[in-house]
Amino acid sequence: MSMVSVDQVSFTFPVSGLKIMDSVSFTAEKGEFVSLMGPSGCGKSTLLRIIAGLIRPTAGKVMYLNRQIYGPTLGMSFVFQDFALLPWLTNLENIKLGLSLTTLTDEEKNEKAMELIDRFGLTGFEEYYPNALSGGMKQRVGIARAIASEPQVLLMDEPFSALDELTANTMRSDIMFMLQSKDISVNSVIMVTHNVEEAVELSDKIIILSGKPAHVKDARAVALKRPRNKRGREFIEIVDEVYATIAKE
Amino acid sequence: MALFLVAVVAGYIFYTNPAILSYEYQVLASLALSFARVWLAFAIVTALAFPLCVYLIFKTRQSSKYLLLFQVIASIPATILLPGIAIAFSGFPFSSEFVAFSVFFLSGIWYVIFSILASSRNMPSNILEVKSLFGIRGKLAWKYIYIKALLPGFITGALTAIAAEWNASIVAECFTTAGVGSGTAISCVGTGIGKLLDSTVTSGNLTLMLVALANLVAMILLINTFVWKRMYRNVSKVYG
Repeated sequence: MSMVSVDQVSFTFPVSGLKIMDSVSFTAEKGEFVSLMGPSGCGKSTLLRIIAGLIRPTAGKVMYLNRQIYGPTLGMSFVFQDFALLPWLTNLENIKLGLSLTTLTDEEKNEKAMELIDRFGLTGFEEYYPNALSGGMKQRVGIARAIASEPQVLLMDEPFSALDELTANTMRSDIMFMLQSKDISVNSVIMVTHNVEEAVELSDKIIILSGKPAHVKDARAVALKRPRNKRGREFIEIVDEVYATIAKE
Repeated sequence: MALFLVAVVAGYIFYTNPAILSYEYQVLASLALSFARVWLAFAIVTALAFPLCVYLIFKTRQSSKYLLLFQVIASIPATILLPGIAIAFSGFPFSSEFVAFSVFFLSGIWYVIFSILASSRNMPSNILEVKSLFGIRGKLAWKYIYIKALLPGFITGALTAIAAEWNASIVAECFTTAGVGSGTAISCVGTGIGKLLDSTVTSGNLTLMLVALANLVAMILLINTFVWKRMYRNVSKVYG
């Protein structure tokens, strides 16, 4: 049984009538890290929002554990490119927002959020507002908020592209470490990215979408051993192949 | 320090001129009543305008459409409607209070709505996605999103609205035919700073007018310093 299965999803903008996605299908299996790539403006972010249940597809369906998605669910959470923290809430309160749908009492939510603050290296910053944090720390709050409710699937929309390269690198290894050590509940990830090296470094599978309207051009498995050596010959070959597939008409 | 200086000067004036001291009591009573009218009107403005803005911004999601409409309405001075309002309420008990209240209300409400709608454009754009993703609804949505998201716009709107209400008080509290007719009062409240100022002009009591104006200015400065500036500072710490 797939964790997430995207089945013949099409999307047309209701007002302009512009069709940006045509029968997109792919799956994310248990334990799989899937990257979505494609030319900019091809609708990758829209597709991720459809999977999250934030946007209804014009046709087709998204299944989470064999049940169709009609709206956001506790089992899947979302990490935003620009963090999407609420600037008027403290970091602790922002993380607590991720627990809104759970049945925990306020005290339990506090406890849980504090635990995440510690785990994400944000100790001492819980009572600060997000504007006091660096980009990398803001995204840590964003990820902590996303995994607070212990989702099975994490959807990430270019999570590292607003960060400087050094910070992004650290965050990538941190995330990978958490996933591999089963430190968090998440066991499948779907990530939108435009960074080919990042996709090859993290993914078990790379879905390459074509331009307008988007459809799946290639679904490529990446079977390299982890941790991956970004300077290795095999790694570089795969990166080149992915580049070529994206560029191919 | 400045406050102390003002108090010393005022004390000296009152001590040497008992007449001015008696004026001061009269002015303070008028100011207190007008203050109550202005802030009551503002409280009702808030109770109506705030939920309306939440509805327009978060439910219809088309607040920019309404923004233009409210900008146009806000440009119509409430005082222009005064004759109509005075006629509508004439004959009712406390009609002059209702007239004053209506003008205060209409002077203030558009600024609040217009300022909240305008400032909502600076909100984080994916706030509605965050709300829907984490299922933030009902009481939680009010506590964590609506009130806090609209607070900066609301403070600007409140400041402008209350200023507009004080500005309107001179006509709202005492509406006469002076200037076009015999000067008979059409709608005049019992006591109020607007009425007092109006009567000093008619009676030519310049001393009383000066005392009234000085008190009005002092009150506005105090409110600015202790209410609005403090609020701005707190808000810009978080939102800035």
